[in-house]
Parts: sequence; C-alpha cells; structure tokens
Amino acid sequence: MTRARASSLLRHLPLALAVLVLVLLLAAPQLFRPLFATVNPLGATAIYDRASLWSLTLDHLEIVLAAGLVSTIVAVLLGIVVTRRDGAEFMPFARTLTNLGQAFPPVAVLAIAVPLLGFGFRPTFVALFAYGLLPIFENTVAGLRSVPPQTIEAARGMGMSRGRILREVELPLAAPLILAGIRISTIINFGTATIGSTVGAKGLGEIIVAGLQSNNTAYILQGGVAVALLAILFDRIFAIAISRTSRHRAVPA
Amino acid sequence: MITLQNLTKIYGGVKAVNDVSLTIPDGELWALVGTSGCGKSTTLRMVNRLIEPSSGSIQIDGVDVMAMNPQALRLGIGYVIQGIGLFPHRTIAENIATVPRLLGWKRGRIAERVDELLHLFSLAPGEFARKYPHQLSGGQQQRVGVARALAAEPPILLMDEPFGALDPITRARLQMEFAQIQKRQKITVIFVTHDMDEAFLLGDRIAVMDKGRVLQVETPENLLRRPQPGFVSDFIGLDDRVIRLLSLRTVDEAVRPAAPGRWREADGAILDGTTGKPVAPVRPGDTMREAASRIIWENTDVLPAVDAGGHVVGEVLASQIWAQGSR
Ligand SMILES: Nc1ncnc2c1ncn2[C@@H]1O[C@H](COP(=O)(O)OP(=O)(O)O)[C@@H](O)[C@H]1O
Ligand SMILES: [Mg+2]
Repeated sequence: MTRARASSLLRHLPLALAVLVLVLLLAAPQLFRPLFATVNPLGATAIYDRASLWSLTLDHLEIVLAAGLVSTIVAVLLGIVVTRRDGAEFMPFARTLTNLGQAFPPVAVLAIAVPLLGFGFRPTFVALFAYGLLPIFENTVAGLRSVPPQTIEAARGMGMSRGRILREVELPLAAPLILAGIRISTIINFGTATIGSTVGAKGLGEIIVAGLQSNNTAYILQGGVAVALLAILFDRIFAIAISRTSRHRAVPA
Repeated sequence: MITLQNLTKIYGGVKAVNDVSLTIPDGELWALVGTSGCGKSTTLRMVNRLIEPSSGSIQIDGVDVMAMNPQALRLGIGYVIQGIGLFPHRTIAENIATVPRLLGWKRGRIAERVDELLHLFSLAPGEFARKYPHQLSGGQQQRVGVARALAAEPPILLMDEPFGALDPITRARLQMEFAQIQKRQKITVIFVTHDMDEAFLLGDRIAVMDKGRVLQVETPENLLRRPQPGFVSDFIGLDDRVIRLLSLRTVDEAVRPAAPGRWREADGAILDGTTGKPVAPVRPGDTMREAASRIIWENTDVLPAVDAGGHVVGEVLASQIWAQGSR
C-alpha cells in the first residue's frame, strides 16, 4: 500500500468508525448491553427501550437539519445583503439579530416559545434556528469579504452582471468559509437539540432525560454517545464538502 | 475609434480626471503615462463604464457609451488589470472562456478558441488548460489574463499596468509578444503604465498626464524631441533621450552598400576585410540602440550588416546612427 493511500485511509477512519458504531448501536443496541451494564444501577435496564433508538435518531436528525437549513438560508441571505454596496447599512441590524440568537440561551427560548407555539417540534425548531444563525452569518460575511477585489473588478470589466458575479464568483469562492460556518452551527445544534426533549420534542435527548429522571447513567451515556456519533459523522461530511470546494486553493482546507 | 471629450471625474470636490479629450484611431495603441494618482486608471475605467464620468462624454465609433447597456458595452471591450483578477476557482481554459460563454458561443467554438489562444501565448494546452491559476507563475498568469481579454476578439482593449508586477525579462518577452498580436489583429488599445520605457516601446502615441490633466499627446519620437518644458520633460527624463530615440528605430533603414572586399564571410563569422579581425554584424530588426552599443564597445565607426541568413548585405556607419540621435 502506498503512503498516499494509507494516509487517505487514515483520514477517513473517523468517518468510517463513526458510521460503523452508529449503525451497530442503532440496529443492534443489545450488542452494547455489557458495556452499558457496567454503569447502570442494579435492577434497571441497560438499554433504553421505550422508543427505538433508530426512530429517535431520525427525529433528532430531522429537527437539527431542518433548523440548520432555515438558519442557513436566513444567515446566508443576510450575509449577502450586508456585503452589497447598498446593504451595508443593515450590518448593525444583522449583527444584533444573529448575536442575540446566539446569546439568548436556548432553554430560555424554549420557555418563551412553548406558550406561543405549544410543546414538541416547533419551539425546539425555533430555539435551534436562532442559536445556529451567528456562525453561518459571520462566516458568510467573512467569506464574501475574502474574495479578492481584483477578481470582482475583472468580472465586472468583462461584462458579468452583479447577480452572475455573486453566483459564479463570490459564492463559489466564499463556499469553503460558508460551509465551515454551517458545520459549526450544525455540530453545536446536535448537542443543543437534546434539550428539546424537555418540551416533548422527539429526539435522542429523550434517552438522556429519561436517564436523568431515573438516575440511569447507562441511558445518559447511550443518548450522549449516539448524539456524539451523529456530530462526528456530520463533521466529517462537512470536512469532505469543504475540501471539495477548496480544491482550487494552494493549501486544501 | 474612441473619442473622449472633455472627460471629467470629480471625487469629493477634487478633479481626479480634468477635462481630458483624446481621439484614438482604430488599430493604434495609446499609452497613458504619469505618476501614481494622476488619474490614468480613472480615465480608463470610464471608457467601459466601471466609473461614470462627472461630465464630458465618450464615444466608440460615434456611439455614446452612456447610451449603451454597460454589460453589453463591456462584453465588446477587453479589460486587463495589474492584479490580473483570474478566477481562482476556475481552470485556465474556463477563465479564458469567460466572455465567449457570456456571449453564448457554442461549446465547440469556445474550445477551439481557447486552444488557439493558449497556443498564441505559448501555453501548451495539454499542460495548462486544466490547471488552476495558483499553479502558474506570475508571467503565465499574466499571459492568461491577456488571452482571456482577447478571447471574443474584441476590437478594443483596455489595459491597466498589465505587465507591472513581472520581472524585467518576463515583462520584455510579454511586451514583444503582445505588440505583435496587437499590430497583427489591429486592436485599438488604451494602455495605462507609469513605466516610460514601456510607453515608448509599445505606444503609437503617448499621452502624458499630471493631476488629472493630459499635458501632451505625441508620437514617441516627437515627445522625445519636443517635450513640453516642466512636468513632461521632467517625467520623460531628458538625460536618456538619445538612447530612447535610438531604441525607436531599427538599423534596416541605415544599411548602405559596402565596398567590395570590405567585409569577408568565413565559417559563419564576419571578418573585417582589411584587418582580418572578426566583427559582430548588425542583423535585420536590431535597434539603432543595439548598433550604437556595439559601435562604442568595438571603438569603430562602421559595422557590417547581414541578412537573416547571416550573409553580408552592406554596412552601417556610426555617423548615420548618431544623426538619428541628434536634434
Ligand atoms: N473611488 C474613489 N474615491 C475617491 N477618490 C478616488 C477614487 N478613485 C480614485 N480616486 C483618486 O483619484 C485620483 C486618481 O486615481 P487613479 O485614476 O487611480 O490614479 P492612477 O491610476 O493614475 O494611479 C487619486 O488621487 C485617487 O486617490
Ligand atoms: Mg492606476
């Protein structure tokens, strides 16, 4: 095996391991019983069985990705607006908004949102959406500002419209940084989403909450491990996407 | 033909470009020279409407550019800037294809044109087409910048210090390559530079600017012989003017017949017929400056002239060269 092959395998090892363990954990949680049994209190079950781990994972994915998608759309649009010549005046507004979304604790958002939106998916979605805006917005702004002015000048001088320059020059060049923002936001929200279970949103937080209520460390560990694996999985997926979009750079990200 | 009429651009009360009028005939290259900040780039960028004039007008073949759609206008005008501005995320071939693609050319025609331009600028398509800009040297990137501007065969080219960031050898080679292409394809060029040597080498005419105004517009020779006193004379640097005058002409016009036996050919070398010593001849296309250097170095008053095949066709007298360099 060549050194390049070996190093590329090594690079993808975390991804492969995360997928492997996650699939095993979801498909056959009983396999892990001896492991979790070491930390669960006597007499209690070691494996959460009130809902399938598999469906909880899908719910968890759904809410994080849905909130992430909407955060991305809003934050990227805001980032585009404030970096336009006529949009610079919206910068203070956009900064305040996204900072507030991040600084306001998600638990507090839940507390406020539940009376308005009811229990379950919706308040959690709002909390995650607000919490995820800042990194995407800031990275979009940084990415768009990092495009060399001569590149834009040349594009304009060759007859490209502003819209085309945005689509074909600015966004592709800013893509690695924008993706890095989405990556941070998503990874953080995989963890943050667990609090949604306190207001009845379906997700892996349910296992952790159950563990806390019944003093069952095995549950807490199980939920935590599943969330962490999801986070690692997506971290690797984003890493690949970022290196794809940076292939024109001298030093791949 | 490009006509600038009383063109003025005011920034915060200051006239960056002040009442500039120029008429540039088709196929000519006009150099805009002057110190940094004198308004060269601003003038240039008003031609393709990257900047809107405060007053005055610009016409291309009699059509006011302000009456044209800016994007359509720019698609018909090549533009090269010092930073080059290649798209880092696009391959060399994709970069060159930019304007043809915007114009909606068919894929096959674009590919053909890209190939042709890569050849024209001595970039082997097999090696360079799929590379990204960062994989090229500065000189190669600058070539691609010029090739990209020429891709859709625009009749007009605007160039803003295009060779400024290159080392002297690469710059000289690109200048020669570009001069040939420009003359062959009869492209009308406005060429901004702060390098007088470059202006004298490339310009059919040179416009000297200072503080937003064009002070003098002349052919290189007339500018050297009759520069306005003051800024123009100082900027051109009159100490070197003889050398510059000699650079403007080739020896070809000064070759006259030599007496039989004056020069001898032996094994590809040229020998002085009287002393038998080898001498370096002038060749077709050599500048008078090169001939003058050799005459001074050899401490002689005549040099043999050879044709492209290296055969003696006559001689060049020092006095004829000196005459070219005197007022
Ligand atoms: N966008 C701008 N705003 C204000 N002043 C400008 C702007 N662009 C250029 N200037 C000023 O106009 C003058 C001419 O600039 P420029 O045309 O770039 O000079 P050059 O290309 O000859 O170096 C300079 O004094 C410069 O500071
Ligand atoms: Mg300039």
